[in-house]
Amino acid sequence: MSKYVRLMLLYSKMHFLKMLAYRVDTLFILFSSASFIVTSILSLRFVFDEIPLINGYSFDKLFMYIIVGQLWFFSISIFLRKSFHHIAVSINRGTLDMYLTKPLRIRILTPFLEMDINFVWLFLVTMCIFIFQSQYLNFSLMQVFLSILFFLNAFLITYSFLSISITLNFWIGRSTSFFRFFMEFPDLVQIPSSFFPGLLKGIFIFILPIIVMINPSVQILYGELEPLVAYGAIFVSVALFIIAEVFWRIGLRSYTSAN
Amino acid sequence: MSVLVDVLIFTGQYVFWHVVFGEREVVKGFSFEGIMTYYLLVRILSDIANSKVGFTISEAVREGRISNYLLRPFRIKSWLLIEEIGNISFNLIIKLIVYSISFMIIFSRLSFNLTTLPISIISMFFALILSFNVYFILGCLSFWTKNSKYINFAMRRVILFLSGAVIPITFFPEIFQNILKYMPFRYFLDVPIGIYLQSEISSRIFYEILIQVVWIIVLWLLGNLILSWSIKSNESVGI
Repeated sequence: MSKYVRLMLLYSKMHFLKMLAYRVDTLFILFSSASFIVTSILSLRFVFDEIPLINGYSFDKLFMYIIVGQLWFFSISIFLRKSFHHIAVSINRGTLDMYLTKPLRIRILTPFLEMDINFVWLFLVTMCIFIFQSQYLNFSLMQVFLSILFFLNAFLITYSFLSISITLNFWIGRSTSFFRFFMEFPDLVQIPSSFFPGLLKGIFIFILPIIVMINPSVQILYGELEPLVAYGAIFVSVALFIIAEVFWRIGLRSYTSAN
Repeated sequence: MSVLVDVLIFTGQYVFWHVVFGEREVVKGFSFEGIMTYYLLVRILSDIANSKVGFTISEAVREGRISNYLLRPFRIKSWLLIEEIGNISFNLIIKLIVYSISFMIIFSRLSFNLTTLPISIISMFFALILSFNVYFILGCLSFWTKNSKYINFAMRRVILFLSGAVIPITFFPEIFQNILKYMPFRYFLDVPIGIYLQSEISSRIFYEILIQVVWIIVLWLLGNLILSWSIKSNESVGI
């Protein structure tokens, strides 16, 4: 395990030094993501200026959905976005064996290959907002624990989903457009599950797991966890993880190295 | 994939606004059909408010390829504008056909207005040139910062918000709306779409288009000034 930790630290340091090459531009990464949160919250505020409650939801409650949605987005931006892109490029260039020939499990190492350190600060700031906002809620330690577990579950779902997508690179080549797909997700995952009508809810739980990303984590804090969403989240997570693992192993058989 | 993303986002907006409207007929002057048509047009026209010229200049400066543009027997700005129009026109036609048909089939509750369509197309074209000018100025920053990729990303979100892509500007508080009257951003999306959604042609429409033209002239001249100033700090490969 220590070799993995050392490698993770090394990769983080390398990435940080690389980003420092363009300091002014790097600073704007923070501004870029902060602008996303601010504009989302402002838009919601403007709607609430007209309507006091949306489907029984207050501004504070929907604000919580936005904040947790952003935490999810920042966590995948830190660990998964660039790392999976790097894997996709390695597959296409035939340089994946750089990892495959080493005594390491690439599947474990993937989140740390190209960590995006810039989003760590945003994650921490958003976490502070989350903690500040949580003081108005009355929840137990168990609720917090389960909320964190569901958040990690959402991370696992995203990991598996991205893994399946990049595995396609073994066969079709240059399949990286799914990244845009995920970059656009924050707007969708922030919508409470009760807003979705029946059939659409089923589609967005079991086929395209958007509802199960952050809904369980927020719902449990408010003591309103929907059984369908909770069980759906666990089922989708396990199913996708198995599919991703099997898919990756099958994909590896079609891998062609450059050397 | 891009079409799928747009369908998903539009679905999300549909779900959210469906709940917001609930039993209400009108919110801030928008009917449910009106607001969904507004968001459909935002998706179709998003390329207009999202000019890629800033990224093009940034990459060319960072990689030292900007001299490729400077050595051509054209003005760099005119070349980039023609390139931009060429790229956007194709995407726009595809989006217009695919999205209009697919969203009509899926949602079937959109409003259509042929009276103001020709004028709104003119306004959309002006919006494209206006957006190009703003992002061109942002792109020129890369002559100093050597890379303005994230500056462009950051400003893109702010510009999209101020142009009404996230929420129509009529939802903004009065004070914000008054400030935005003196900025070019609302002419990227809110004004062209607003013209289309109006039921009849009024003098107000021509006034808005006139302001658009004034902004284009001002920003075009400002862009030229900034380019001639910033290009002095350019270092390139092979010259």
